[in-house]
Amino acid sequence: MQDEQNLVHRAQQGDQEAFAELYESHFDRIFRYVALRVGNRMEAEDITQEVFLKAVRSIRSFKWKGIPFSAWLFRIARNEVIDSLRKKSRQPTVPLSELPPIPVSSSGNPHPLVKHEVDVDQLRAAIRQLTEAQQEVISLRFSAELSIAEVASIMGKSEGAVKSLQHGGIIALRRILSKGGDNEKG
Amino acid sequence: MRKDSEFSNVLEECLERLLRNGETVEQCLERHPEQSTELEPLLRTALDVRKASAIEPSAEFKARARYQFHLAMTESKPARRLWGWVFRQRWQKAAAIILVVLLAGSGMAVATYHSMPGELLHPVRLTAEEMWLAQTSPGIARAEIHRELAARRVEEIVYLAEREDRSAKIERVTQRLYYHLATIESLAAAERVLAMTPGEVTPLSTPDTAAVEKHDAVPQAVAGVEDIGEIGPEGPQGPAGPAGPPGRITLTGLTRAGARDARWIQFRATLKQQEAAHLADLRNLLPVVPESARAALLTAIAVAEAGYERAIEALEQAREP
Repeated sequence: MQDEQNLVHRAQQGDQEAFAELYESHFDRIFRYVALRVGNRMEAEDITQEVFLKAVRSIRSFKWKGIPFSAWLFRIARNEVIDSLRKKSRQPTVPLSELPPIPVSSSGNPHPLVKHEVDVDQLRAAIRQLTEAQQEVISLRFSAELSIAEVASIMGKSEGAVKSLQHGGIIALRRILSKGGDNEKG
Repeated sequence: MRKDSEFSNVLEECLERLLRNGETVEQCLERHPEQSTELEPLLRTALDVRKASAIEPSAEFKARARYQFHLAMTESKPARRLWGWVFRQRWQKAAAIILVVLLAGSGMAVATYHSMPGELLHPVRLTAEEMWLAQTSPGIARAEIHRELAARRVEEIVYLAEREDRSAKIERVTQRLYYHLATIESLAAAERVLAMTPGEVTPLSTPDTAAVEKHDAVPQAVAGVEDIGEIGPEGPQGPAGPAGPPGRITLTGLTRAGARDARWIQFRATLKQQEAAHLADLRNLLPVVPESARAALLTAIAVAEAGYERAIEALEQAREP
């Protein structure tokens, strides 16, 4: 945390190396979060790029008040995602198959999903059936790998509320996936 | 409600252990046997969600984004809040610039050029480097400067490591080394984007640099490109193959693309040689460096190795069709 504070301070003073270091340490996670939220690789790339360009332009407005820099960065990303989803809310959904396939395990078989009956596209589609708040928590928690405290800070909610959304989101996913599996069987 | 909240806490505790500490589902269930029936399916679903979330950005996108980011940083000049601080910073920079100008051609300029971290004139040298970069347009010319500055950074690391425990300084110089190599990678990625523009797709693998330099024949690498540049007095002519007339094609259009290829090819070769020499220089220091500086030197080696490899890989991809 101290190191990041120092890096942010240097970046605010125009130190490009410090900013480059911050960029490298957050880039992949921001991309993963955005990609899971928007479900389209090209759009995720555009949004991720925009997030960091905005960060460059506005880093001087960041004030260190115990909130991690990552939370500030993810707030920018979240706002960009929300804007993008609003814009295309009435447009047809883009196929999720544009995202890469699920990683293959060392045994050469895809990692098992729920009851071995759903694949990664189904899972991503299931995530999109959750409420906005649940999707937000699931994306920030599992793709960006943030802690409950960080997610709470980004979403402006209490930690208890985020835990509850996480709980409800996982139960809902389980239910959606089980239902999908039953439908396929039938 | 209270029961729900308690269960949410247990679930979160298990998720933390699973996601961050690498515990297994079974280990979590052993900790909470009374809730294991309810917990197990949720933990397994959570693990599946994490696997489905493993979406990695492509290397090409990362390189392109990094380049855009560097450009944005260069263009963004932070306004200082404290006027005193502003004055001090600008005064220092102005003084450095004046010094660079005044010292040009004198013995002091040589001293500045050869100054090392921690020496009085070193900040002047770094300012001169910034000026040098700022005056150069993005592309091969700027990549050349970053290559030279990367070489300079390795010299500085060797200098620091040989003297005394200066691990903090080595770390700072290593960060600058990373910056130079990452910028080369970004410039190479931008070159790839340029190379993809219609009429300039010219694979690096079949260069004919001699022909490009002589301007007396169309290199194989660019044959087939529609834009043939200026037409000589003999009249229009297509891309000249072995049987084609030896018309005058000036250094525009396709010959310029070929010449650019040649420079990037040469640049890549030089960078490869530089990588080998620098890694050898740094590794040779390991047996003699003080223990306290060893960690910083190992980091420098790792950064140099990864930075050079990524830059060279980006250069290799830069002109592939």
